[in-house]
Amino acid sequence: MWVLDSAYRSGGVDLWGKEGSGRVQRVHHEYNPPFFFCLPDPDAYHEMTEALEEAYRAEPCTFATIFGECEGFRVFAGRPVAEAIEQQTGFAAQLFNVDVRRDQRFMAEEGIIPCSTEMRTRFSPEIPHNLEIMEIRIAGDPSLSRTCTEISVVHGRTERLFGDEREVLSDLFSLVSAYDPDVVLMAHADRWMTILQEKGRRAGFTLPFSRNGKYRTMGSRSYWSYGRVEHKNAALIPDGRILIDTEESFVYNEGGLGGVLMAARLSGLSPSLASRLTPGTLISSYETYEAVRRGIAVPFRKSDAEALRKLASLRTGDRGGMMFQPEPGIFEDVDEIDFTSMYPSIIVRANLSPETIADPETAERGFLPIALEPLLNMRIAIKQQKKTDPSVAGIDAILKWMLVTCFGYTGYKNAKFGRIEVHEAITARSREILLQAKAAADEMGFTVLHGNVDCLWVQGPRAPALQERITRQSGLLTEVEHLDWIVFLPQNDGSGAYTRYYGRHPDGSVKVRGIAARRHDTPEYIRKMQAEMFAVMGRAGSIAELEGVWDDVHRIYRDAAARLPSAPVQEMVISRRISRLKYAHRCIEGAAVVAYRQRGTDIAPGMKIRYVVRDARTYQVDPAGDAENFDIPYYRQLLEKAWKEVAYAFTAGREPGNRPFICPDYGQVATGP
Amino acid sequence: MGRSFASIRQGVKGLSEHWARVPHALRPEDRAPAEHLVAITKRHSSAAFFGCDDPLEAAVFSSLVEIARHHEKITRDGEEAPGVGP
Amino acid sequence: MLIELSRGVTIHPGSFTAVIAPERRILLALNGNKDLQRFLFLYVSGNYSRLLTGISRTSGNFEVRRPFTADQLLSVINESGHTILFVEHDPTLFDGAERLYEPVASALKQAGREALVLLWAPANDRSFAALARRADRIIEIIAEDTGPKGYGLPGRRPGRAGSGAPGAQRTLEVS
Repeated sequence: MWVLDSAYRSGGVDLWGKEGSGRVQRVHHEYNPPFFFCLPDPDAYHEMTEALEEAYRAEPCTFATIFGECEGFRVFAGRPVAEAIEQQTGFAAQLFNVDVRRDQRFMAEEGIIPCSTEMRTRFSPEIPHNLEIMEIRIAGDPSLSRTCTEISVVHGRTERLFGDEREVLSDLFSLVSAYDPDVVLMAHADRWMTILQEKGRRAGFTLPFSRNGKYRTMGSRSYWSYGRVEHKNAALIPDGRILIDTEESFVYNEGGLGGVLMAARLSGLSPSLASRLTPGTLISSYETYEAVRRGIAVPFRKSDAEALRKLASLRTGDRGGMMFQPEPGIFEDVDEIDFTSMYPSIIVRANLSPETIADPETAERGFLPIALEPLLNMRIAIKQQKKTDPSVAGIDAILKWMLVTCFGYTGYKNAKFGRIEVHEAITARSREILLQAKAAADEMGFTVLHGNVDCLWVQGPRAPALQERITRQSGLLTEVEHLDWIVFLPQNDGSGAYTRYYGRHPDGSVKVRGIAARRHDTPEYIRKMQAEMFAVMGRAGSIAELEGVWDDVHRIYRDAAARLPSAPVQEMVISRRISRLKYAHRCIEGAAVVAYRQRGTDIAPGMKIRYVVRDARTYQVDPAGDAENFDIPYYRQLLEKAWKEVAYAFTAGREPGNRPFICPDYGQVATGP
Repeated sequence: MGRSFASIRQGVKGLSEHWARVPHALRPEDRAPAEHLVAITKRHSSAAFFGCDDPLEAAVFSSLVEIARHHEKITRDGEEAPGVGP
Repeated sequence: MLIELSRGVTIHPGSFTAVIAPERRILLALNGNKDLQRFLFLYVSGNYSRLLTGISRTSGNFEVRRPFTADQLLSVINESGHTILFVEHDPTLFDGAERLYEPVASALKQAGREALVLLWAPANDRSFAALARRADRIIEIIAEDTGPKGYGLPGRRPGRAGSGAPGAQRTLEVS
């Protein structure tokens, strides 16, 4: 059975599967799994264990954890009983498998994976399916307006519904019931679904998205992730169908439908749920599925803190990846050597796992390396395949993100299989590896221009030879990218920026990092200007040839500056994820939050807002949908800043032979040092 | 998840900004070398982070590297160079 | 052996003291007392610490454990056999873990029977107040430069609602 949805219902697990014939059926499996617990001193709690045996079929047992076997109990009861045991034992009890999703646990125990018919295909990039897909496009932004008077339904052909809201909804619901799609793609689905349900109820219609009339709910929340606040909307997930919020789903936006299906297959969760999770939660779910599949109990709480250490030792160990600071300027014939999935590769090769960290070299293979290795191998294979088969790009993206976050999860407070010492061991090894790579480059006569955690930029004659040596001495896979020229930008104090650069590939494409064109909050007008400039600069295969395109590039800036006052206001929209609702000092972002609230829109930290600055001096800002004009001087400043990032390639670069660049509009002659 | 100690790089930057206030209070003949010293404290902070445990150590190490380089240059060239550092 | 927070304000072994004080003051107390190096000193903080960077390098003998959850904090306190237990309060440890206020507070109290236990925060908050309820003393040191600007009328203490100390507890305010 090709599982497209799963849910825990009525004391068991419902699996919705699609057969080869196209028929979708629901199979219910009775399932009442136990949780486990063990005690440091069981005799002290014998009354409690006896009571549990009587009331909940509790039985003594031995169960496996990643640290080895535990003598304890299995209890056929739910979370409230587990929490009561915690309280009664003064939190001395260690509990397991309390909060593992039961549908996921069932599938792991039975060797079933979503979006496939066989376990052996779990790590295959192929996801053949015969899913019927429908796309629903409701006009408008549900955070600003709840009206549904214009909807397009795409299913083979496009049907436009517009007019009286009641009729439009009636037609929409009829189409969904008639076509009965397996997948519904809808921008802002998580906001629209509750609106549609409410409007449908008032009109006397039943929401048609669930195949059995039942829905699962997810609450909304704001949370910290990688140093910023994110927000998850509440969701109404229909049973028996895949519903993807194409606007909000990170997995869908990075990997498309293929990415969602792969995320589900790997995590053991339904595609609807997988599409709503962050890469961090996906990798954590993957680890949970792997643990259950191997009969390893999943801890409920994280109660084992890091081991005792001296302050001096912590000072030394508490560091991130190695970074070298580049000299700002422009450089020719540069090779970028990247370690493929460096941190997960270190976990696997160095056998780093909470239970092996004391002595990874001699310990038996740990849980994390065993669990991550097939994922890593899959990523390496797909990355290669992507070069000739672009159809796997979506899956590659999801794998990349899951592996990137698996490192973070080793140090994350809620990670079931995380431990800070593992996190620190990974970064310590990564620093050594990058330093060794730099030493190899130095010895082989290369100039190391820059290094950043898992990447080195070098100038020298024999990149393949250096790559071969680095791969051999580190044991990690590497890739080399040649750049005909690369610009490292300066910071405000003149020293080199670590993560702001751009460079030209031999095929003419320009790789860009950290500048306006890559920033999420850059207005479209400015992004387009930089993109146009890079398209021109991509024609230049050397610093000398760049000189030749200066006029064209500068013209693009002058034209953009001249046209700015008459530019469409929608191209001035700034999109930002807000981190808070109250601001200590007046600022543009704070004014935008106020503008949204005055409009009556519900916002929470982590949400993305879109706004146009009407008057920066007096902090007047309009939500994107309401904006009619914009502060020209303010946007001119942004435009100029973006221009300077590009102009730097011509005005302050280093160049062999110290030939000057004469830039009339800048009134300066720049030469090399 | 993140780090418990402030980043050495950020610490050196802060130290450098702190020291940048000192040259104004010095005699004119000492101002330029002092400003130069402020500039060279940050030069090697990225690499220094690898072996140094706190910003002051990294700033001093960075300054000493530059002073050693300059001294080497003087010795090699056999001539006096003005100021301190390259 | 004692920790002097301010002239005349000292903390001794055999007590659990909750302290609200500016970072500078508490660092001075830790760095200024070379004697502390001679004792088994356990520094406990969450992942992000306000003080660790400022602790003198000569305090290399201090031991550290960083719990990331309230459950881990409870384990750390219960497992500590140190003479001095310094806990830098981290309210985020208690997000969704209010059930652990009482067990952690009791564990601090229990540890304070023999050790010198100091729970520090730069300002009061709900979780700190919950833990401090079991403290033998609460000491609040007001920064000299906040004065009226920080507190408005004399005697008003913002942010301390709900932190009422039990009868057996002494609350000391020092400026």
